[in-house]
Amino acid sequence: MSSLTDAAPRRPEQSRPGRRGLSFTGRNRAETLVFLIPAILFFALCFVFPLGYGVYMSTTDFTTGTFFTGKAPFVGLDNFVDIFSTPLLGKAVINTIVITVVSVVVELVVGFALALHFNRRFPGSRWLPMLLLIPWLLPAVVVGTIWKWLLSGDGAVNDILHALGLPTNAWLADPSTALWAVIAVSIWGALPYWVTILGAALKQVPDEQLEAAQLDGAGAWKRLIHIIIPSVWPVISVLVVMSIVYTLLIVDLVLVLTQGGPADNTVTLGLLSYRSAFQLFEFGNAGAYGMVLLVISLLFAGIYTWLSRRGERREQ
Amino acid sequence: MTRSATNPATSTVKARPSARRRRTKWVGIGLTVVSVVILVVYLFPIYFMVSASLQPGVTSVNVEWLPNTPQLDGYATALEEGLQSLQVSLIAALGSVVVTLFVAIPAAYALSRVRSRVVDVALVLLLLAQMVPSIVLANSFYAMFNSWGILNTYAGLIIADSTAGVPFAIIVLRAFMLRLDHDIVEAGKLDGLGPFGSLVRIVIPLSRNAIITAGVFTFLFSWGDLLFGLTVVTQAQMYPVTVFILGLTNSQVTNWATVMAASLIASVPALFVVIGAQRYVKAGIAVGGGR
Repeated sequence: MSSLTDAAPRRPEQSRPGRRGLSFTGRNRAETLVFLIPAILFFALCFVFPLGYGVYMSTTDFTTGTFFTGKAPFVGLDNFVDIFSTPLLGKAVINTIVITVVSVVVELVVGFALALHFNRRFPGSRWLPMLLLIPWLLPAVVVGTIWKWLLSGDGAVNDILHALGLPTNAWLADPSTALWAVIAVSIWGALPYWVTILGAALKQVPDEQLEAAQLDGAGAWKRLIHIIIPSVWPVISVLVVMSIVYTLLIVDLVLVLTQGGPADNTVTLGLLSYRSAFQLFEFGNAGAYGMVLLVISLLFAGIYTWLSRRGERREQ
Repeated sequence: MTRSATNPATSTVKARPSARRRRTKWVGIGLTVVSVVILVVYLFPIYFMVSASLQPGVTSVNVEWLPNTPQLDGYATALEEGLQSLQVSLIAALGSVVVTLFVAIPAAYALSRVRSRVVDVALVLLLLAQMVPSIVLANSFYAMFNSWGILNTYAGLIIADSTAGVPFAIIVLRAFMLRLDHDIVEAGKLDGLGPFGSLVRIVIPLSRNAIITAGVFTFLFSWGDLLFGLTVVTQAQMYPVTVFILGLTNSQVTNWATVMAASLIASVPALFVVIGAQRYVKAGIAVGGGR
């Protein structure tokens, strides 16, 4: 927002810095702020209170009994000590990081390649990419269900691999491949989103620059490195950070595909939080896992905010 | 190098323009073929879902890639057993669209008209809210809704589902409203319209497309939600269709034709959006992507 710097010299009222005026009188301005009331109530009820409650739960021995007695003894940081002392947490952190890093890297590289491909002009180049978006729009349960069957021991993926003379496997049941199968499915669902956004960004690359570079004898590779990538860089950076956050939170796909198994080889932080609360009914531990997850995602959210605000400022 | 290369090049192009055009035409067709191949491979799982849903009694061993005699038994069973869950999903999704738009439209309007530090803070909070893990909210919602007595109700589901829609909708709508012609909104004021009047009479009608975009996405978020359906609902008759499908896949004897039919029915809103509301999706993705 450039309002702060623009407005200051022209408006004399010192008491209200940053007010551009926009010909709204003070009364109208107050009335306009009334429009924020439903949103303020909503955020207080659905974000501030639950997050505060989460902090509270993470410091108490909150169990099923609490719902009957209303009592949750304060235990300080015991829940955190509890979760940090189980080997599961380390496994979940590593899995979460592996899923996130591998997914985002593959999505970026393959997504960019596909976006470049679909950005060229050919019959059907307008509506064919739209069909590609379908997997992203499908509910996660549907994505997980289809793939759970395709990847099973006697499923279609193995039929194809067998026909090609490649090794087959019960991909989701084998502890050494389960995590990679989950990652593959997560990429399948998210890739279309990348292709769509990067495709839109590529359309903004100035044609004159590309043509000028071509006349100067710059090959396709040079044009990619020196013109195309720098001009879509702001979009890429925001997209990467946003995808990191969303992939970090992965719960639903894992729930459908493996439920964290086999032998806890695909547990993620989000899944552990779900499991503690709704399968073990240890809400205190669930709250502690939730806080760990919240801190990580807010960290990346901070980076995302900074990047996207910087982008917005540049646009103005 | 440039100069020496250009002159002969342009002259040859001038000499055989039709040959060049024919070449670009073939390149175009080649690209189309490559694209279709990519799509066929990529969308194969969806075809597989459709195919399997038409083969009653199918297992992963005897599944045909092309159904010999397509039968709709899977759909009959899915609808019979899952009709209640479809109704829950539909009401919850439509309800969260209504709640989201009711909260987001006035807020977006205010945030687009007023310039102050408050707005900057609000925008940062919105971006942060989009990234709050749903599982953290779900844990708290379970305890909160339990004490309020709204577990297993539409109210609970709608409130929980709206947490995904509201921040997104405010961001999309505000981005659009910022671009509205200020003079038109001002003209309403000359006719004696207050902020409320100009919102209802001028801004909402002009923002129709952005409102549809926000509504479509909120609907898809809520319709596809699994986590809240799994946590703030504990009774089978209030399960949304996503939880119903998860239950089918986890049962002892999985009837795959029914599961795939139910999955396809649950995919209808997404498929409908791709066919019928493309431009709204593109608009939403552009804004949601932080462009």
